Amino acid sequence: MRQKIQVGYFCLLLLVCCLGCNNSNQNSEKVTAPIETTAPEQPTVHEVAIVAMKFQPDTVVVNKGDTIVFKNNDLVAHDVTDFPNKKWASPTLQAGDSWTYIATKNVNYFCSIHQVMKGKIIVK
Amino acid sequence: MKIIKNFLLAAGVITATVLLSSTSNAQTTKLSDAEIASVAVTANQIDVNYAAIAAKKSKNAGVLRFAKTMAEDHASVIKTATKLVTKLKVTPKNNAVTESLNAGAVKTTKDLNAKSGKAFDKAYIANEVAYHKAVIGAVETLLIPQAQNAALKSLLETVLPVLKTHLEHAEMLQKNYK
Repeated sequence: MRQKIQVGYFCLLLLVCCLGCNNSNQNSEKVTAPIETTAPEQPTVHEVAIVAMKFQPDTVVVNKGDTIVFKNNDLVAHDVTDFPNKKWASPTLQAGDSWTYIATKNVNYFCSIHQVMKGKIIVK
Repeated sequence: MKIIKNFLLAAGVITATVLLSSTSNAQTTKLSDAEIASVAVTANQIDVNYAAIAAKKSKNAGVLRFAKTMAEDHASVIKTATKLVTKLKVTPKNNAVTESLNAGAVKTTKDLNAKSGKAFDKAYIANEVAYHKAVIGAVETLLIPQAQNAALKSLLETVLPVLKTHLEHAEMLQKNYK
């Protein structure tokens, strides 16, 4: 009787081991399968055209790290300057020139040459 | 035509004879593209000249910055206009409006040169407000409607927002002198 019980245990143990092996095989298959990873999100490039004496669009909503390309399509020179403290500024952009700004926080800006031209960048 | 009257008034053409003559002529005068080109270039050059006076006489940072912008922007417009008329083989043609503008500018220049300090700044900015208002009116209701060539008309339409921004800027500065 004891022997039968021992054989029973042995069989049960064997079954468990087999099942375990099966599972571990499945796991190893998962490991060896191509890993699906999400590539780091690329910063988006937004364009603000300077045309007809306006920043168009005058408000852009972006993610942190996105770039904003300001392109002067106007007849006259402009710049892009932090408003109101002038902490940063682009060089003077002649007609056809572009300048890139990387957004890290919400900012208001204006054209220091034509001080009534204003815009803002909102970081989500 | 009221617009031309204002245009000439702002340019300083105040004598009754010239004004009456210009106003009555304006009702019948048709400007050719060559004449429109002449008016456009002259109007821009006059403001460049006013800016040069301000650069010499003013000590106010805001006024000096504005004058620099006027000099540079109107020079850009002249450069673009000159390039266009050269391409179109149009030679700007002197006309009554151009002559009146120049005559008015002589008077305004004399008035501005007679002032100094804050009085100069106030007069310069007041003239810029009046001048830009008048030029905007003339471009909108006289030069653009009468321009025959599409490229010339398009250039005048492009210049309009520049003039309107200048006016807004001048009016902003004018608040300091009231």
